[in-house]
Amino acid sequence: MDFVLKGIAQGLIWALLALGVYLSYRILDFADLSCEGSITLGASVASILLTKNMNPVLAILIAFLAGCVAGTVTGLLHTKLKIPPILSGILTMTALFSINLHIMGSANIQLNSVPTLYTTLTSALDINKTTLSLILGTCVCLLVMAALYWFFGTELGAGIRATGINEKMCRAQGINTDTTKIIGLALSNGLIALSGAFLCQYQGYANINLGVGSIVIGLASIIIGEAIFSKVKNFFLTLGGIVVGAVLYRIVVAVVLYFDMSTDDVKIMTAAVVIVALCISRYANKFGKKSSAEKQTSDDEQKRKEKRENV
Amino acid sequence: MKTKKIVCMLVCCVMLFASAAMTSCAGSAYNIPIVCGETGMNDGCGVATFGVDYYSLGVKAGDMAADILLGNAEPASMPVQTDPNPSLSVNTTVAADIGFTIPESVSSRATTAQTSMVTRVETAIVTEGADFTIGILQLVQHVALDQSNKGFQDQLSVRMDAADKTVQILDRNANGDESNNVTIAENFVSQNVDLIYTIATSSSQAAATATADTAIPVVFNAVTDPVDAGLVASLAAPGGNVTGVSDMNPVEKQIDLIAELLGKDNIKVGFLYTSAETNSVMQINLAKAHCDEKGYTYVEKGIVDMNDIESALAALAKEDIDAIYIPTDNVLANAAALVHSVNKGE
Repeated sequence: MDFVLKGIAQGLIWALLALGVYLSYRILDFADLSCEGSITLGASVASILLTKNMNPVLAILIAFLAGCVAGTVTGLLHTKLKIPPILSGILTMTALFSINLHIMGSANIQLNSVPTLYTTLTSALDINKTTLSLILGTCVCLLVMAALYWFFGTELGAGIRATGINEKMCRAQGINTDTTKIIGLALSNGLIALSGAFLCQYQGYANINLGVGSIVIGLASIIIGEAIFSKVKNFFLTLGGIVVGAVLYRIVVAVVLYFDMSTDDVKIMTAAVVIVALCISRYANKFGKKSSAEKQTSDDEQKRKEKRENV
Repeated sequence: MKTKKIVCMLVCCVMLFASAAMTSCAGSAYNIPIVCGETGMNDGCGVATFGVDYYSLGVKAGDMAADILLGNAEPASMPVQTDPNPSLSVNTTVAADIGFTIPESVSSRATTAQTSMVTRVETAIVTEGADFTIGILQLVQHVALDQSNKGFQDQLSVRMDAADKTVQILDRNANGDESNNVTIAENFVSQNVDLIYTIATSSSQAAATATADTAIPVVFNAVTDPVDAGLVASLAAPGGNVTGVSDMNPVEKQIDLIAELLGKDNIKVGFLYTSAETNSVMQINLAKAHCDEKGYTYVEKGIVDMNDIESALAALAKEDIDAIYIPTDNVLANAAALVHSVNKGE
């Protein structure tokens, strides 16, 4: 069971990425591919600062801000230069590859010889790394979820949500959708970079290829999360669903890798799991709609009955 | 309307220039002799090189693992090993294509002998009830890495058979995914394997981190600079639970080979490598230091991906260089055939 716990610990870090992707992909309805660049950006900024002996917490916060800058660039490319969403993301991602190399100075930075958040806390609290990662991951995820819940309840946050739902209507209401998009993307990429900053410390190295395939992990986590929490209307719980989705995805990967199968089949097994999750999502939605529709009609009948009786 | 016309004319001009440039490029052959960092690349585009053999490196790692398992040695005090006698190989096909004559003094020393393969003892590798369990973590499917894996398993089976022991091998591959590296390494720790064999730098780093709180020994392979990667304290005394085999190619010998091939001392070498690969940059730095020491001149051209190869070769050719040196580099290893076809002007 130990390997499942470690899968959860890793999943909680990837959950930050999934939340970031959720902000752009679902809330803002913006297919942002800069994700693969910004997670590496977070890792490279955090790791280079750690090798300069900076406080790990401060390094993580700076990595978050760096991600926000990357998101802002994607946003500006889209809103000011009118470049389509997918291409803006790809352009930022491509540019970030070179930027990340410049930040790190090489393609790989090792963090085994410098104090990281994990090594510092394990020795300070005298607990093992798995326990620490579980506690830390849960706390950070809850904190981020709470912050997002609060933010999307404010006027600005509601504006961002409205932009994703109906941009034209939003503009008609006097909301500057360019600003809301840029802020949404900055926040999204900031979270993704935050995930990278934790990830490099967890695994003990940052690598230029760290972000490869991360968008797939993010999207798969969202789909799995939504499949399980399809009936939930509460925004906080929806965010929780994304976190659970990311954790489940990592558990699945850990299980796939645990069992003795041909090494060439790992990817197809992972793909199969996502397909299954999509199927569950589809059927769960079908049943979900049916039951709520039935409920609706029975409620209406009830009301009509009451009306008649009152008359 | 006027602006439209001007734009049209501009576009036409650009297209004319582009087509003219392309036709002039297509026919030009550079025919520059190339020396590569490893034998596989030499087969594709080089004229001659000293190369490390990944199968032999795997065999070496297998020996180290067997010594650790059988209690003959501790990883902390086992020096990192390298290929002691890199073999000289020449490529007459490429040389003929670009009209280069390999001097007799070089070609006569070339070894044509095949790698001596170790015969695997199948009975020593079992699926359950083994004396030892080994986890193998390989970064990605790749010919050289696969060879390191095979050499390791073959030699380990021989050593286990000789000691009358059996071994179970959990062979895992991260499929090029960094996050899988960590998961596999942590799975091995959960399964409490007796030893982890890692192939490639980031896989080794993941295993080193995952085993940090445990006593599980890690033997790595295909890591060019284990000190820089944070795996060992020094090559002579690793000092921790991690040791292994470095696939460092003999850069100095390879640079000297260029001078020998050209038959002169005042050579000008062009370095072609992928700037994103740590290992390549490190080899280029070694090569530069050696050139400075020997009084050779050089120019360098870093590329980002395969698409830059043509323009990089063109830029190097303009610099009037005598030869090109390509270090052990993943992007260029995959594009060796392309490098050759550009070089001979196809």
